[in-house]
Amino acid sequence: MKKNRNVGVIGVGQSKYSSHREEVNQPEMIHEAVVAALNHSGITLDDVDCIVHGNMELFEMVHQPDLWHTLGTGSYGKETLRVTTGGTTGATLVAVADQLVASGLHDVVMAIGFEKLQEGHTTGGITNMADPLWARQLQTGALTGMTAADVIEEFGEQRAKMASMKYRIIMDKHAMKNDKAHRRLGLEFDQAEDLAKNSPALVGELRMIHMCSQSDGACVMIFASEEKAKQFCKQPAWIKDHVTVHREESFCIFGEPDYVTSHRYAAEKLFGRNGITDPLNQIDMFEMYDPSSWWGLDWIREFLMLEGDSHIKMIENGDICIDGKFPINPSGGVTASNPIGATAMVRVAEAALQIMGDAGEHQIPKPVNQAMASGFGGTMWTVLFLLTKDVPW
Amino acid sequence: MDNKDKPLVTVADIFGTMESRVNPEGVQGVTANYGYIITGEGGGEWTVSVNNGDVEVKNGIHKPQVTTTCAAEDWIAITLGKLDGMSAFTSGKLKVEGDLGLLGKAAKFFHKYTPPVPEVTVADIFGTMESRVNPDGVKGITANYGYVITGDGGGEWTVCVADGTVKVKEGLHDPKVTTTCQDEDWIAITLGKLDGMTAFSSGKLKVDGDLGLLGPATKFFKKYVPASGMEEEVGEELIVLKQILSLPQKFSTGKVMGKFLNALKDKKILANKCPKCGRLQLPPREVCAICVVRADQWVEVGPEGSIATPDIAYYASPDPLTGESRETPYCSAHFLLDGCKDHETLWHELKDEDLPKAKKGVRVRPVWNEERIGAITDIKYFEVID
Repeated sequence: MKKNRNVGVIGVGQSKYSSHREEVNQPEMIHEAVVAALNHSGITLDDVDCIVHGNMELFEMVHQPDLWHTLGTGSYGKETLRVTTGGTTGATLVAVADQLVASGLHDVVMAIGFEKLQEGHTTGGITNMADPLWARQLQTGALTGMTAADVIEEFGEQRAKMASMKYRIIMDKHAMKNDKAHRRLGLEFDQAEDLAKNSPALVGELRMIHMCSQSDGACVMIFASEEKAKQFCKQPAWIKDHVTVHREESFCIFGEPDYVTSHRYAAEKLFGRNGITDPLNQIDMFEMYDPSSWWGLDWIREFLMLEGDSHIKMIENGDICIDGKFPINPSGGVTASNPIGATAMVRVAEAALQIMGDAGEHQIPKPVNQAMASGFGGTMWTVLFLLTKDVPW
Repeated sequence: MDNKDKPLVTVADIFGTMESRVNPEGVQGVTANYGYIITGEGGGEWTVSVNNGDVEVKNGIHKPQVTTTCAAEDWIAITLGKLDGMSAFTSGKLKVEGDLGLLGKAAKFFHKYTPPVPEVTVADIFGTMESRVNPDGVKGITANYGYVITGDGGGEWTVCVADGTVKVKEGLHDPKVTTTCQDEDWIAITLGKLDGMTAFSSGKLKVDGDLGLLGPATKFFKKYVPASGMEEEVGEELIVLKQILSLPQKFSTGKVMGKFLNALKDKKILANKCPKCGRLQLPPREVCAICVVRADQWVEVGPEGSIATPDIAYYASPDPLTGESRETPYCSAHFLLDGCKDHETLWHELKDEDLPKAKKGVRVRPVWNEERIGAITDIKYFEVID
């Protein structure tokens, strides 16, 4: 597999993520991230050829938000595309921007993901995603305790609960280093027992503390062809490859036996065509779309194609900490900040910042030459990215 | 009642109610003085003294270990949950001096502050009725309902229902049924604090005339919401506009799902089978997406089976289909019906009373609704077979 031409990330901008952004409207909030990304890349809007824009429109129920947002995006007179693929929107925006540049259609593309969840109805939006003939009566939001139940069954109650709480506390410690993050709770490891028991239960053993936030915010990334990227940026983060895997069926994954998840399937494809045989050593960090700490824990095994309890050990040993052997989500991840249409893009943006060396206080102390980022949505949708420090080809 | 001139939520009320809102578990083991300097109109200085379980709120600042400074409007917003305390701190709206570590504990000291409830009047209940008409509820009904509400805040009203239209008039006008009730009881019934049937049984609510007309009357109106004393606190040019969308929708089933849903009317559960890989689909789909062939064979499964994956929800998420919050806890589950294997499960609900028995492998059967229309709701829920 070889791309038509190399594509580099040359700028990242993020608004502050928060549950309260009543002081700005949608275009204003997006404008913050647009300005930040332009400043980071050192280019101006005149250098941008095309803008791709997306969110999960079911949430705010605004049709063609990109037209309203023209005021904040600066897209007037430029080619513009709108992309909306549910939870994976932010990741699909990156995939589209990458393809637009790789194909040679455009040299510089700006991708914008945003959500103002406080302006919509998250549960309503998610219920409307469900099959209207059968599932809407049953679907009341994105909450499920099934993964928690599975992990508890496989590894025992005490070990499973402590591992998921340790994962959560590590994520919070990372978020404390990221001033854009929405929830920065200041958790300590000695609170694990208490939180696992006393945090309000949502569904089964999925508790309030495990679940992601509902945030307002915008993320912007700027992509450039190799020639332009080298002209504008000392160290671009190169998009080497990405895979999108969707599972068509909503209903046919529950019950026995285990099935191949879209995460593992995507990882197998991505690793296969990029010569990755030992992901833990060949990849330096991973920004994972982790909607809850139960899923985060469980999905480490899927994405890294591990078996048995190696993923649990990675958490228990602190390998996933920012200064650990295999850092995961130094940004704090999705449990800290979740502006849904931006969330999956933030994963790629944060991986890019690590490669560029611009992550600030949450920069990983070791060199980052190759990074992975994932997006998640729907029942089982995965978008998986591989980013590199060296020009891929 | 002039709420705009007199805000119901004041900083003084927030501090004044603290001692009554102490969360014993939250203050256990903590001994420290927390100072609060609330600036701006309605502000003041308070000290919350926590002494291993005891809490005393004093006016003024008294040897605090940590002092929080914040504008009155922000403090109210934080207390009401409209402003995230951490965000306020991050953004500098809330400043802290002293032992920062003590603040984390303070978040658990008190139960939630509830603003004083605005005064509800009988006149407001009747006055808002025409705007709260539920068109489906009044359809096909023509009758005058008289109400004699006794007490200082009472009066007489007639609700005139004429096949879909509703007029509320003062005084009694040829009522076919008249309800007599004390003002405070009528308010309590309207707010859902007193059950109408209980009030009737206990004699608090008396009825003259055609008693049968009262049953339908419970569906005439949408819920009464007291005029809120909490006006949106918005400064300068910043306004938050509220909108509610209600979107009627209809969906075509197609032949395959249509056959499945039709069979439910006869209490039959049909799956369809892929001729190539042999797997069942439940609910059925037009093709087997894996083999990419039409799934054209039909198999009746169940109706009994077992629980494959139970999911017990404790969180009352608002149901967008009804606008109501669901009663919790409830259990949605994937059921493996007899004749099915592996992932050939059916997603539905388990009977509330069976929640304690919700375990993998437990035998269940469907409970059917009397009236079946070819929808998921034809199965009320599954129940455990003892």
